[in-house]
Amino acid sequence: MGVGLLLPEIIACMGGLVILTERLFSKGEPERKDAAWFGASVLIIAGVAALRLLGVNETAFHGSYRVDDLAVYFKLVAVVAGAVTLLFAPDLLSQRRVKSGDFAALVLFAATGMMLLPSALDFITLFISLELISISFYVLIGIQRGEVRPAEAGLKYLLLSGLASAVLLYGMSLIYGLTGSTYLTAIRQAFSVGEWPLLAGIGSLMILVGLGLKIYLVPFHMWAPDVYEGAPAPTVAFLAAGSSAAALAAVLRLFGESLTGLSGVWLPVLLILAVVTIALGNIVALPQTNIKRLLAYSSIAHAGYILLAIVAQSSAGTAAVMYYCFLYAITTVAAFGVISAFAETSGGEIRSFAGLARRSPFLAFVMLISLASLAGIPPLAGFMAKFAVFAAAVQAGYVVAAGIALLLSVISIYYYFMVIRAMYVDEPVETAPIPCGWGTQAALLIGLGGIILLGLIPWPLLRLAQEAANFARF
Amino acid sequence: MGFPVVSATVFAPLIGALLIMCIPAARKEVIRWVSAVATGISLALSIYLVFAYDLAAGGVQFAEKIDWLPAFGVKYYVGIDGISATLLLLTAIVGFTGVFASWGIQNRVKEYYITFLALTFACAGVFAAFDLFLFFVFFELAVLPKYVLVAVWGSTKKEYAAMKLALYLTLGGAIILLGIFCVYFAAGINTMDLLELARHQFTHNQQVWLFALLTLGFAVQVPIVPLHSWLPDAHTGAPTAGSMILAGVVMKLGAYGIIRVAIWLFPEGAVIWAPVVAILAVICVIYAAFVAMGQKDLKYMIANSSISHMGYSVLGVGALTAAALSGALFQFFAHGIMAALNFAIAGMTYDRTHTRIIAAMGGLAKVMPVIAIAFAIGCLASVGLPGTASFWAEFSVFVGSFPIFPTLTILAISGIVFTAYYMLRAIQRVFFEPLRHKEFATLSDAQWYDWVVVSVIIFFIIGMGVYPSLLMDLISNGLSPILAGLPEPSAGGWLAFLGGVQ
Repeated sequence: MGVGLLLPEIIACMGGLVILTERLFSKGEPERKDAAWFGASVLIIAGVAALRLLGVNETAFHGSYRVDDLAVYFKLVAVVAGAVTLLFAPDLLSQRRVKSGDFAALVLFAATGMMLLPSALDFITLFISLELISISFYVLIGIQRGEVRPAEAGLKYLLLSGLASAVLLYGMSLIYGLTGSTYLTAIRQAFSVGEWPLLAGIGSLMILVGLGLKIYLVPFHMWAPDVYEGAPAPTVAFLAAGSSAAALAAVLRLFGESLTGLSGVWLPVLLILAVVTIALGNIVALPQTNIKRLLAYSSIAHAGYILLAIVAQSSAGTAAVMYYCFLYAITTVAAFGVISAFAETSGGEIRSFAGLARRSPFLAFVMLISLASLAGIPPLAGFMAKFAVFAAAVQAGYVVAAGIALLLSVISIYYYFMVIRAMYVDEPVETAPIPCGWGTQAALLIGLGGIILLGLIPWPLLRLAQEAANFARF
Repeated sequence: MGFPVVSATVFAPLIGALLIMCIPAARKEVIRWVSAVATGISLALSIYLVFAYDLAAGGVQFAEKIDWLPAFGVKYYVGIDGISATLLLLTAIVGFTGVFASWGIQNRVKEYYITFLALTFACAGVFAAFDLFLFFVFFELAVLPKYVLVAVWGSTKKEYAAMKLALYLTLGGAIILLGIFCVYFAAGINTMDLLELARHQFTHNQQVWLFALLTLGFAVQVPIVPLHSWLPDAHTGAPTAGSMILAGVVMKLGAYGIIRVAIWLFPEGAVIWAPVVAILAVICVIYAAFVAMGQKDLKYMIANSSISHMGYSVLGVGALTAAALSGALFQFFAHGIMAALNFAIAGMTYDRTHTRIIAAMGGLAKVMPVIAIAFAIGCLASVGLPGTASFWAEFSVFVGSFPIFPTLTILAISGIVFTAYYMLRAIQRVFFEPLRHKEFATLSDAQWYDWVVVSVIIFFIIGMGVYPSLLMDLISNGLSPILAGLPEPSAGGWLAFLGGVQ
């Protein structure tokens, strides 16, 4: 296939460069939304190119880059998250006088990173892809110039993410020093037999810490609430839906396949941290009064559920992670679409949602379905995802951990239903309907349809994930 | 495959709800009639199913199977056996009369009927599902409409009551889900089909622990004391039709789950845990009866009496004999329509007097004789008077339980005395003392929609009291595969279970 293997990434990257070049020559009024539409179309084309790679299963660049169904699947998650975000983003950005061209170009670059990362089979490619995502997000988070909150959030993300990268690199260098290779296949073989020194275990834990920030692993989650609150809603939607999915793909590659020989060290740590993550996310979400902070802790809790499936160390677990990422992405994007249309204009306080059902029934309904999906009410997408994850955990014998996680997930009903209550029960403070552009409406319809249809007809996507997981072993 | 009758029965309310979504909120009358027609179709179809079920053939009939999630052996598998047919009829009766009981609601009518129909749909789905996963999906689907119903249209402490309900029920749901995972992987035959799982021989240890886990989850919903504290608040807080369906149908979901899932799949576990279940049941009966006696609020009294009456069912579940189990299931039906009637009457009096305090009313029989007579019938049914459906249910439970737990049964029977005390006292205070408040003298009697509620439910209370065999034969037929796993399987109709009552 040659260069065809990189076609989706090339398309996304070129699209970003085209938008940047166009920005050089135009005055660029902030009201213009065509750059975002262009970006969304580029991502859709990249998605089609990625779909054509299904079933290819080829390795390129001397084994440092692999296109298999698992990688293609995660590329599709990135494409869907990015494209839907770009649909609803310009409505908000034009209000904030942010040029949607800047936003779209950065989303495309981040999406390129998210598409490269699941294919990375050596430390260098993996690290560069990860940095491409991080650097794009440093700017995306603080893209509203002249305001304090976004700048603070951006700086916080920059510092913590930089620290995490350093730890990740150190861990990689330890593993490289012990095995003499940066290739994941070679590392897997090196640790598959015999004794390994203590340093190797420490190296694997450092890699876990480095990636832990991206996947909301407690105690490396501190950035999430502040970044969610400070950054504009479209950025957060893409961050929550895309970045964590890509990082989870890297975790699957590293811990599911490459570092399995060291699982005696990191597996118990990951198991305990997964349960702690679920507990902390759910409990700290309870007193939140800001919808974005609430969803930040909810993201943390959901990350915990996903980690349970990684701990399962089985192809069913891998499939559950993949399945969860897609369904979580579509649900999160829909929820942040509503927030972008509504709460951003009112500070994002939950009480400002009062009476939304009477002001804008459509927005309230999309939010209701997204929250119900996040809460895991059947037969919505979120329930199917949770079902797959817990099934994998129980199958692998982690019945107690799954039981604790399920009981902790009951808490989440409280904070999700508080928002539903505000929307449907409380009296509205204002009665004016919320203006909602067609881009936002289209994005919300896609999200709503995805949540309901993928819940009612879960089989095609789950089968795709399962087959990809079965072939992902190298 | 012919016309999917069972699916149509289950989905008719949902289709009604979807239609209502498309109707402008101002057309209240249209919305009400669409709901009435949707639940009416459901009622007509469920009556058809009761008569069309072939007792000689037995088993699951009118089955519809479609693969849903083959990776977990999950199917969309609905059908009816004798038990399902009876309980679908119950759901349809309560759903249909609930629409008319809510006719007077003026606040956000559109959302109200959508929520109510969604809840009816979810409950009907639970009873029709023969796939464990599908069963759970319907079971959990009911939580959100319940929450909204109580939180928006409720009365006292509605937000507290609604959240408490949601948290308790989700807790139960989480335990059940864990149980379902364990069942699925313990069986290891890649199926969620209840019939196939029932055929699988689980080891003794698996039976003991899985029965305990699942029954614990379902016990929250029954509710069995001490997991009951959400119920009085929720049932009292709910609007009239909400209370009707909560007490009439939703309360049955938990006990139905115990019989349909826990006992059917794990008979050995059921035998081991039976004494615990029976003791908790008697505590339910007595404790809730005492609490009901102390209530000043009419709806709180009825809510607590519901817990007490469901205790009889649970006692039957604990006794595990054919007579006791069929009595328990018939009690679902009998108590379901009776509680619906009592809550409907409580709602009607509240709509008129704007109070639920028993002592604040009085002498209402003079101004609303029809409602008074209906309530009297509801109370007598509560007490288990012969000639009402409840009589057969309670009689059957006691006859079936006495040989197994004589002391506990006698204690439970004493519950009838308490019921008589608080129910008759309520009738007397509310309807038959001299009219205490002059302003109540001008209140109106039953409207035409109240007549619909009252006459439909009383028709079934008396009808099943006079001719219980119709449903009892269905129930005992549906029980036979469940009884087959128990130590003392017995054959024959339900009258044979009772030991030769002629």
